[in-house]
Amino acid sequence: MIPDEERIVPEINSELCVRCGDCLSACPEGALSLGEEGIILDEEKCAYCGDCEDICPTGAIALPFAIVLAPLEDEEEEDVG
Amino acid sequence: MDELTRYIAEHPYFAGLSAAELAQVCRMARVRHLGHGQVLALEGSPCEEVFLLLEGRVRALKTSPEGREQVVRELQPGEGFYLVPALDGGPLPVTTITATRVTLLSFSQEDFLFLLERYPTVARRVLVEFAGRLRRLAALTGELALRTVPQRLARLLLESARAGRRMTQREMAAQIGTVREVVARALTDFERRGWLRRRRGIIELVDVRALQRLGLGEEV
Ligand code: SF4
Ligand code: SF4
Repeated sequence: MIPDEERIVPEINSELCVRCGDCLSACPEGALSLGEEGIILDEEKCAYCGDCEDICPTGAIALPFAIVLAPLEDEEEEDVG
Repeated sequence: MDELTRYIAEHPYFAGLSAAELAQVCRMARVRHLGHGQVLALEGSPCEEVFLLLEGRVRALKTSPEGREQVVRELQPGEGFYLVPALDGGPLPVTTITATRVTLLSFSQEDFLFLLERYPTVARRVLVEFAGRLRRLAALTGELALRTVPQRLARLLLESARAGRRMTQREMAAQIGTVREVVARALTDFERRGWLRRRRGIIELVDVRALQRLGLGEEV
């Protein structure tokens, strides 16, 4: 099943975050800020580009992708309905 | 049966030992329950302990020549780590940090070596596991030598779609022996060719045949 696109956002593990701020400067969209409780993500701004995941020294940010077959339009392929 | 005894008795390394032998192993082992983000040991330091991961996940990190720490692997329950430095006396190859709540068994290096000498069945089980690791490494080395990054990525995408897997680009990179930037470039190239579509958090494989042909090393 394809997850609801709107609800997919980077997964931030605040317990791994060491508040170094690297992801804030790496984010091209300015979607991240540092609050009392750790990193705050502006879901509207986030482009799911992965730059924050890449820079994070502790692996606190993950951007998983569901890998799926596109819904089939080709009559030769089987129906996965 | 207390917690430690239960973990030792259930661990595959110690299967087949008598009650008295298990009791001796228990005297050398410690059970640890740790929260997220705890550093277990640092890259480059001497090996003091061997860990057997029971629950949770542990990240292995390596420092690049530019001084950046990169997650190179995520260890899963059932995996042991620092066995190689325990055996060869070399420095720890990676830093390890708990990625989730974790339960593990630990042994001092001396005790672990003692167990291997004292109990041939334990040594044998450790060797069998090492043999499996060598095989996987040899397979990866073969893949690295024989297939290009796009070929390896095409194969991984097809396998993952079949298995219904979710992966980060970094995990994809780790699986095929490269780094995230390279995976990102290859995905962009596949998308430009119309082989896949990327949406937030979803990679849809559109042209499975083209990916299969590439994965098999055929010209496309
Ligand atoms: S995924 Fe990209 S846009 Fe979203 S928060 Fe991270 S760096 Fe910013
Ligand atoms: S880069 Fe990682 S550790 Fe640093 S502030 Fe961002 S989430 Fe936290």
